[in-house]
Amino acid sequence: MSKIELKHIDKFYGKNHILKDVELTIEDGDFMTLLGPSGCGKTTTLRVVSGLEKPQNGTIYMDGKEIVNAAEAHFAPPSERGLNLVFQSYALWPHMTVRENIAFGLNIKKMSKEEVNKRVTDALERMQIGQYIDRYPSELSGGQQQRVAIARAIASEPRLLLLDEPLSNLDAKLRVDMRSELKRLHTETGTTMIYVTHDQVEALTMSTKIAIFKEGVIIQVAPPLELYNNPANLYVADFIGNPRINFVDVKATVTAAGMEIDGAAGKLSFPKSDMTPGAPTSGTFDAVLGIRPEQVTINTERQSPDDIEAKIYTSMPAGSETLVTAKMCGVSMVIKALGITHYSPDQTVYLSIDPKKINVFDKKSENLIKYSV
Amino acid sequence: MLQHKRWFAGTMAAVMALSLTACGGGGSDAADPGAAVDPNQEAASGQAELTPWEQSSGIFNTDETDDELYELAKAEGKVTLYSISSRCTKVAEAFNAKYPGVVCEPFDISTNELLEKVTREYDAGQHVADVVHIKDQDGSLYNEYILEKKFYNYQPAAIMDHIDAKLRETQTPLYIELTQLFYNSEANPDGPPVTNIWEITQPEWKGRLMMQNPLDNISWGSWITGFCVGDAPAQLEAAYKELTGEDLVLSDGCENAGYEFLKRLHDNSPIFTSSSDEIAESVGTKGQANPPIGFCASSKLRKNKDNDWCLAPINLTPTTGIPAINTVYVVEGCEHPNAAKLLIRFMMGGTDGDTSGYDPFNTLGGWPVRDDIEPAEGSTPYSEINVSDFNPTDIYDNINPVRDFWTLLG
Amino acid sequence: MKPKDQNYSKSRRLKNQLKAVVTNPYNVIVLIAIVLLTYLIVLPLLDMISTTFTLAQRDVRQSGGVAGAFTLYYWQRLLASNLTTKLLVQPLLNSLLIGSCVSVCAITIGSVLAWLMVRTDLPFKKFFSLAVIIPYMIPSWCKSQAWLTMFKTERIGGSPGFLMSLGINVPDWLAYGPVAIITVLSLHYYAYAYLLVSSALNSINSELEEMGEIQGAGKAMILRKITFPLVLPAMLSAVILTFSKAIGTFGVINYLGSKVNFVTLSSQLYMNSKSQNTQTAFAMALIMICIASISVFVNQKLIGSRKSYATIGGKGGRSTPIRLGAQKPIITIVLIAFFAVGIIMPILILILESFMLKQGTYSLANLTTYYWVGDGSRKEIMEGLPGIFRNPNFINALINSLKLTFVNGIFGTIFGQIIGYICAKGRGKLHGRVVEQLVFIPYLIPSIAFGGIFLSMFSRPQTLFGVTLVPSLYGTFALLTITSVVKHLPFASRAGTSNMLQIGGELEEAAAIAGAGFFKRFVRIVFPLSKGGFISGFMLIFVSIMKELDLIILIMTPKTSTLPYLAFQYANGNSPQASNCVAIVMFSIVFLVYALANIFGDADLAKSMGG
Repeated sequence: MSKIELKHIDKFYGKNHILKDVELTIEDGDFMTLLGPSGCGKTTTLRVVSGLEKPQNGTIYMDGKEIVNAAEAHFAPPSERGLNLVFQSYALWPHMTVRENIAFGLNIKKMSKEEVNKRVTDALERMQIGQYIDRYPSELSGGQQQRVAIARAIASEPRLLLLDEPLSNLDAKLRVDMRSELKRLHTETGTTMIYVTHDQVEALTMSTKIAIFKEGVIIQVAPPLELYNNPANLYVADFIGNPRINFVDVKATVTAAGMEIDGAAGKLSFPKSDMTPGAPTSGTFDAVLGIRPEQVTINTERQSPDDIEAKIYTSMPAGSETLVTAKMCGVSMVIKALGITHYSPDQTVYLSIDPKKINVFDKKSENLIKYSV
Repeated sequence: MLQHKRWFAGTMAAVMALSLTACGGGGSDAADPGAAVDPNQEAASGQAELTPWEQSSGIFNTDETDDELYELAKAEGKVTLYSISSRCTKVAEAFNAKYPGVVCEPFDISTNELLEKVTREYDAGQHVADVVHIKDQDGSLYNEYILEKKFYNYQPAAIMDHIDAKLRETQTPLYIELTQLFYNSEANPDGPPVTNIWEITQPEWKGRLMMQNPLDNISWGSWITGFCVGDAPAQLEAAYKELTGEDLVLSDGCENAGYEFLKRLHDNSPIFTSSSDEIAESVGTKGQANPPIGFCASSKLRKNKDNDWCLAPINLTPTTGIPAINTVYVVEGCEHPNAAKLLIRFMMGGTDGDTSGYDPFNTLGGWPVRDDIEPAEGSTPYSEINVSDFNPTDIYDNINPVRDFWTLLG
Repeated sequence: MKPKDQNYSKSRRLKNQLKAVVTNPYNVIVLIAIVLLTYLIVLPLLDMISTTFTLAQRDVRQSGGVAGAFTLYYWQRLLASNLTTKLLVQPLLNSLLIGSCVSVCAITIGSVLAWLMVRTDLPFKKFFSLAVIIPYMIPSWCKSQAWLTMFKTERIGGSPGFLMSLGINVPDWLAYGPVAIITVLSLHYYAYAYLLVSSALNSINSELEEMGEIQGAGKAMILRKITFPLVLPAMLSAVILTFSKAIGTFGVINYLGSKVNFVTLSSQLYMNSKSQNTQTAFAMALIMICIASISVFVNQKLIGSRKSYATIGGKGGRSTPIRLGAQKPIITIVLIAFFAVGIIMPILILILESFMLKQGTYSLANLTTYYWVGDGSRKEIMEGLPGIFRNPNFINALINSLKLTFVNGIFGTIFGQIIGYICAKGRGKLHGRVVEQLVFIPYLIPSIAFGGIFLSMFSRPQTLFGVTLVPSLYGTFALLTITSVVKHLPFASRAGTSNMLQIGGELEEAAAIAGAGFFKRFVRIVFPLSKGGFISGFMLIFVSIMKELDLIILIMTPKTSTLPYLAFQYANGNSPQASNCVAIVMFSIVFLVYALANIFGDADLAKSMGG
């Protein structure tokens, strides 16, 4: 229901430059996740959007309306931005019951008593905690408190819902439940959401778009699958994916026809059409192959001449899948094999990799130069 | 009228004496020809131009009778008394009983706070206090309040006639207290262990004499200053010779015998306490084998009976120091001048023989200033006690050097 | 910041900036607070400073010159004359000695007690934790009196001390002077360290200590390597409080020190003030303010970033008491003995003395209830005054005192909490530091000077550009309130700061997002959450206003007498027993209010001192 545009946002805490020229557009109805390691500026961005922090530079538009213009020192107060925020700590007021917590903001908006009651009940129903309406936060479990916090945020029917690592205090099982809960909430209400997390699984499973942060700079904004398949650079590639992506150092030569690769993974060539616009147009240079663990098939017999011979290092069955580490020409490679397979250490195996799926990065600039298609 | 003239003559003489000493001292005040003049004398001489308040209050008009004042006071309704004595509540009760229609509100407060409060109020134009009962211990009340026309002496002739002119030159005296040396009469059945003041500087009394630190407050500061001015140094010198048979040799930095006495007193390590009561208790408690002696306010004699003490005063030779004279003043600009005058007359014992306003002050250890009021039973007559004369200007000019002198002693 | 080619209107920027400052109530409150504090604290301070440079009429005789003229006489006398050593250096060194030793002792006692009370399985904890606060409520002169009753030697005559009467010869250095002063003050001020350290200990998760145990560390090692560093910031904070309290006090020093001619800067200040050397006294006060400011500054630097805060709404730390084992009975007995001597004895002596017809006579026949309920028929006692409960003056003073303490306590607490809010939110920022430093000053301005300056300031209508801002407040209750509120602000705001620090910032932000304005947030969120701290802060002020005399006596009118004034009057009028009675009544009220607040209001002095 709302489109947010952040332009040239700079935020300093004293001498610390926390946000560096952040540009971000969140389309109406997006579930935008801000992802990155702790201290990278994602929560600060959220707080800048919410109005709790004032950036030193830049402008923010909400549905075309200017809500922040740092140059003119214009900062619309949080309450005028039509948004709501779920805090990491939930920030439930301990001296109020669940009902009072949720009704607080509604009463401030001078809603009628019936309307407030209806909204409180609706919000609680939606979060399936209607029976706790008269309890105090301290009488609820962590998961229930989390639901109250979300109910409080959605009761005001915000145009924009901000969530700051809301699931980080929950146990693994509850986290999975709440994930689907939030996703359903997003589809049902259609509210634009900005979600902060350092958990890539949350990001990949829930978002419509993900913005990757690194030290106050946005590295890449893309839908989850695109982010996974074609990370903009080595940093993103390394950050996204569990188990981690395999990197293989190679030599690359670019010609008019395309790119030739020579290294531990054998000789490979890619057509020009798969190359990124920013890729070098000629010459020989160092490159890095990015190979997702699930893109490698493992066989005990050679299936094709292109297969690469490797030796098993470890094999770790994990129920639905088996994580295999193999060494090829001294380079270690993690492979995800479906089902349960057994390999003994030092066994010789053959790896086959679909060259189309491989990402290639320029070692020097670290940027992606070949898409996975 | 005749009485009035006599009073006038007396004050004139005092002024001349005063200006002489002032010139001789070469004080900065006296060097200034425009130095302040005692307003009472100025008014009496008829040369003064009266301020509106002086005019309206008739502060220099001392001939009214009690009845006339009572009538005027009734119109004013009340009078506020700031007093350093807890006995002011009793005075107020007696006043209220005698003069219905005029309410006396007493406020018992210690010297320092009283001056701070009344000065601040006065400067801020809040005329709360009408009458102030205090002691002019270091002459500052005369020099800074009377001469600056913040306080006024109200000196009804009929009462003043009964008071030694020496006492009422610069102040309106109420009663006299002393700082006396006391001993334990149980441990010394044969009488005082010392009589000559120099004896307390001898090794026998090292660490066994109690007093308050003269730097503690202004009354003790004034009291030690009293030994260094006027006749006291000469008397001290003579007394030293009388005791030891030798001439007194002044130490470095000691201007006269008074300073020398203070130095030797200090070197004999007296024990300082935080209050006079403590000294009285320490000296007067019965059952001590080797009790100390101590200087404290003569009024502590009153507590002998209550506390079963055996305090006894010593009439030191040559002098027991300067007296602490309790005085009363009318505050300039006060709103109840007639009631104030009535209250002062009442406190000073009046003229009608009813001394109910004076009685609370007339106790053991205090001496009335009036020759027609008998001191409390058991008192040594004031005339028999060796007391130095109190000269406000001498004390005022010397208290700070003496205090500094004492400070340097350690 | 990098330059950007942005088109913007400077005038709109200015307008927005102004609007942001003016419409944000927090800014407005900070502004009002700074203006008010400047007016109520800086102005008196400037008044004091200018007084020290103005020649007084009374000093014209010694220095020459004209009264009211600018002079360096006082400072030169104090800092660079032959009097400097005696007047300043020696007393200053003594002050520092007392301050340092008292800090060390009080912090040791307080911390050990706090640790025992919070962390161990000590028996009778409820009783101990109540008793441990009492020293804060008993006036320190009670304790010095008790000290003398115990250790008095032949040196000062009078009735023999307890030990002397047992034939034990107490050396003078123990009975009077620095050792005695340090002991008595330590017993008085350990309460601060106790309160601060125990609240810090309460916020430490005992898992941290248990982890140490698992790693194989012994109890002593855990205490030294884990617990101690964690409570160190609280202890440093306690050092500041104790140190500045100890160098500022004069009652005990005068009482126990004068007997061996031991003076400190504070007792010099007091003596000069009593001798009307106002200028010198002010100059000394200014030096003390400087010392304290430096120590506060050092404290801020030292603790600064290391501090962590317990947060309401955060996970409650688990706490498993440490078993004292075989030492338990010994420690319990030592503690009981400590309380018996340090707390119960002074109170019992006070109570006993109020029932003694004649002082110092310890016999059954000498006991009387006359000072409490006598009808005034025995003219020889108390100069014919009735016992305190039959004296209309007492009832009057009681009502005045209650009114004064409750009204001022409430106003002081509210103001203190608001200042505390500013300090907590502005921590590390300029305005926060300024406010924190400002509110500390009134504590070090001598009461009488403070009262006097306020009396002068508010006896005239306060005008600005011809507009009357404040009418003349002389003689009004409002003036009494303003004066005592400002004078007690250091403690009220300290309580407020720690109170506010306990409230997580997100709770307030959540309300801001819900659209609650500043005042709504304060009333609906901040206040209810800090209710406990509010009441404890109230208690802190309540206790000290109840004991206040010097400050109030100047501002009082003859009709509004209070209990301390009555006690002073009785003591002045040769009735120490009646004076004791009044003191007992005062103590009882304080204790009763504290107990009630503890039971019903969830007040905990320890909470209000944390942070």
